[in-house]
Amino acid sequence: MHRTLSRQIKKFFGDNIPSSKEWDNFINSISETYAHFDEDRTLIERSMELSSKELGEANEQLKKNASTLSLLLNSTDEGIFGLDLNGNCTFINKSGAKLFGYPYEEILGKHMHSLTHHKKPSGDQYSTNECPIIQSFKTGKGTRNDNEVFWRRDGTAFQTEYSAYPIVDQGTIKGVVVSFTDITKRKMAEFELMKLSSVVGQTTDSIMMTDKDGKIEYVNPAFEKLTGYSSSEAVGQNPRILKSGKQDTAFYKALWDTILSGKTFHSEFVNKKKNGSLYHEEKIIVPVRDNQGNIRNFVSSGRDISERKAKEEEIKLKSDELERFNKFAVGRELKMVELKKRIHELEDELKKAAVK
Amino acid sequence: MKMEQRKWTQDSGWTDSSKSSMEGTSQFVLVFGGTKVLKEQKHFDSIKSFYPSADIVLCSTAGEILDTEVLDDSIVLTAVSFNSTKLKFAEAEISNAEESHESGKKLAESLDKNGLVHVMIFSDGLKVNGTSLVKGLLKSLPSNVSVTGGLVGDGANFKETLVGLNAAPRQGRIVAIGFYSKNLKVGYGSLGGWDNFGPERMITKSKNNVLYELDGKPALHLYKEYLGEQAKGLPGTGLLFPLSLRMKTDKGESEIVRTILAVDEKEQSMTFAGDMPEGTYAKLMKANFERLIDGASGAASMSKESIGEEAELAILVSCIGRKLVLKERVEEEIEAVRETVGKKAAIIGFYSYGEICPTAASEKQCQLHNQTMTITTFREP
Repeated sequence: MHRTLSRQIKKFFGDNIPSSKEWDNFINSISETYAHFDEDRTLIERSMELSSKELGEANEQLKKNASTLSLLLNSTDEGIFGLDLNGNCTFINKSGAKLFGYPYEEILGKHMHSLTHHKKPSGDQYSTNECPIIQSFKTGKGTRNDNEVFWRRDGTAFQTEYSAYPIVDQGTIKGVVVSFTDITKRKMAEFELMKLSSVVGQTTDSIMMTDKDGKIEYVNPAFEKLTGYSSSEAVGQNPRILKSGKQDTAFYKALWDTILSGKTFHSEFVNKKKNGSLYHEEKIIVPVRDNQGNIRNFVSSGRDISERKAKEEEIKLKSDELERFNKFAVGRELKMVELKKRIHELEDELKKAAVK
Repeated sequence: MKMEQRKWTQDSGWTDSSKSSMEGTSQFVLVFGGTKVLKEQKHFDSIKSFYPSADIVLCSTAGEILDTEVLDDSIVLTAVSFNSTKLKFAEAEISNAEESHESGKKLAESLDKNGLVHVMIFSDGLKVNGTSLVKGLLKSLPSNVSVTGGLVGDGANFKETLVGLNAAPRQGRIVAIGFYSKNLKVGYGSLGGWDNFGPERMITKSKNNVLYELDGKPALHLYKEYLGEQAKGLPGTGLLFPLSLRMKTDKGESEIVRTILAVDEKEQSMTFAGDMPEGTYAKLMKANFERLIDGASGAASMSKESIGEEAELAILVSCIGRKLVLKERVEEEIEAVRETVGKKAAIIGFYSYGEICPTAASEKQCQLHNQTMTITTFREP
């Protein structure tokens, strides 16, 4: 019998405990109920204890995860921020806040488009309807962009490359995460490169770039004009498409030995155009090295000297003729001198004979 | 609609062993009983002699319900004679859970669809994956036909669950009753009353309705830890902590409750009454006494809502887990149902291993539930 019940019976009945089958059944049933309540209480106490221990551990783990996550987020130099469905900032890492020039606390909860993305690079107003970040909430698709600017707290702008991807939880879009970098320097380098490449494009010298094995990677418009090969025809080919056969193997060996040793090769070539005609080219081939100092490419710059060569040939022909004429004239002169000398000798002989 | 109820207990035998006034008119007898007693041919023979012309459906239980009384190892029955409603029956054999979908489909296919308004299904509670059975049923039933019923029980033993149609019941059987009528009103409702507690855990290893691991740890170990002393009562005591699954459905996320049917010490696995998909989040649940009782009367209200008037017959399918928790107070949930359905309704039911019912009174598409009180009410003008 349940101990509480047996104490209670003793308290109320003393030793005069009623005795009958009904009474016993009744008491047993109450005793069983007491026992069941005990079982229930034990079970509830046990599960409360276990569950609170488990929840405590889960909480610790969450805290740990959160601090690892925040450490990770704050250890990258890339800016990362999150937006809720209203476009308000739910978190931003240190680099992000620094890039915008705001203290972390000041940026949290703010409408990020109004704060950092409200104007276009031109200075015109940038509406949220056009903003790819805001649109990614609606489309559920990510976006990547490197043609926009973000605005700093001080009113200046920086060129940025950003990617914005929807945060999807159990099939529902909960917000957007944006990661971004300041690409002002890269944009400037790109601009420098663009200037350089426009020079290459517009120069009248024919320029060709090959990889280390001699496969053509680039030709400029002047090359196309000179050789008759279009860029698409030339790229992927070997420069031997221009070979005229006028240079011997020793010439090419010297060329490769020079450039593979990292030196510049400078010489005149006779090359063949696509239409089979030959042309003279004064060419300089320069090896290009990567950051590690390994030769990655060869760039050749050539100038068509066929005209000059033709003129030189003409001059040579004329001077040869002159030479021949000169030789002829000089020969005649010498002969005249000889003849005059002979005449004088004869005259002298005649005079001597007359005196005798 | 005429009805008559009887019960048999070990101590008192049949409450009324006289000939029935419905001897020649009863169409259908619904019988619920303890596994051991229901197996005895003599009981079937007695019932057959009371109602020789009726179709008899028998189900083993984890507790019988008659009026507001809950009994064990007894037999309770309700004989019914409808005014105009016709009934048709279908039955299927099943030997393992893999066949559940096909069995459901076959049962539905073999029922005549013309004039069909409602189907009640009583299935073996251990060899069946209830989720698949329901899916199979729905596949071949018109969408305007509602389905209710349950997976039958075997006390807290989980050894053999029996279903029979016009014969002593056997294991591995499923019986479907089709109701054909122009004016029969059918109401139904299903509610739980359990609360989630503790951390959310991910199902990391499972196969269909067999669960191996939660958060990479053996699920059985977790249950033993929580049950303490009561772990020796597994799988029965596992019902004290059902699992609530956060499932993705076509309509978004919904919470589905699953109860334990079996444990396998060797495999360290637990078999549940429905699918346990990997990647799904689960939480332990515990009973809230008040809410269990509220749940029962809530289910009764739902069934009343769809029937509009007072019911004549109420068939209750309540989860064994509720009985294990409510213990001596289990009848309180039946009393709560009685208060709502009204005094006139004949109440019969059983404690089950799974309940089948639409989620709302306005819906027809049924689902497998666990840990709920599920009520089907009938009224025929």
